[in-house]
Amino acid sequence: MTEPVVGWRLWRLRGGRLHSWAVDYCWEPGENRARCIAHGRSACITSPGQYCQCGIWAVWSPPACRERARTAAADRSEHVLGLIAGWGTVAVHGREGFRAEWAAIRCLFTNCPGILAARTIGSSLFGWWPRGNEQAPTDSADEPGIDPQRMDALHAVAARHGVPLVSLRKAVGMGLLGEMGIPRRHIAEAGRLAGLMLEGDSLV
Amino acid sequence: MGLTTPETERIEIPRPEPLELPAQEPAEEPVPNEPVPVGGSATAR
Repeated sequence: MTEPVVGWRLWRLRGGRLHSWAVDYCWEPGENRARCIAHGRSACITSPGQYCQCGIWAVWSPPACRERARTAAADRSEHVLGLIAGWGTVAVHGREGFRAEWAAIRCLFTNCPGILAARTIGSSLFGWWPRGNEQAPTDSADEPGIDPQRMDALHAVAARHGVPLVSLRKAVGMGLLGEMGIPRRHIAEAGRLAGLMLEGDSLV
Repeated sequence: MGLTTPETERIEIPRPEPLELPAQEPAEEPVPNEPVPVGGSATAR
């Protein structure tokens, strides 16, 4: 494998900066390198350690991120969903995700990850948007009533990191996820979270 | 919070190439206009 792995992850947006979900680390623009922050034992010499949870984690599936955000006790308004590219030593954890030695943010999303739709195929809430239609729905249609302060903070942090800020709906419609190397089945999952039904989804 | 599935594979991925901005086409040398003889035509006779 020569291309970086791309996965979904969460941050907490505090003070205009993206903080790690699980540990005390503030993401820097560009490349970020993992280091082991072991408690009560010696830290791994290199991260991701083989018998450790250290490393920059991401998951393959966007609903897995939503579930983490949904079950988090902290303020959901500060949760941010995005894509990262990982490289260097990468520990793959089956179909769940990976822990990388190096990572950089590729894209941030406007959606509040904890309140993304948990819709099922056939829901009357679905929109219909066949692939090939270049007219993406607008962000306001995607997230009505979004907090303007949150949007301002997201725009500022996306600019700081030099990455695009889009809604999930727009990212699916524009083909951005495909360009970033997300497999089709996970693009379909993202579309469903954003309330879209893509061609190939069968009604039940 | 981490990953709950055990590690299944360990791979080495090279550092990605930094994104490059599209190179600009070099400007062509301006071609001077041919002088037109006064009182005549530029067409070769």
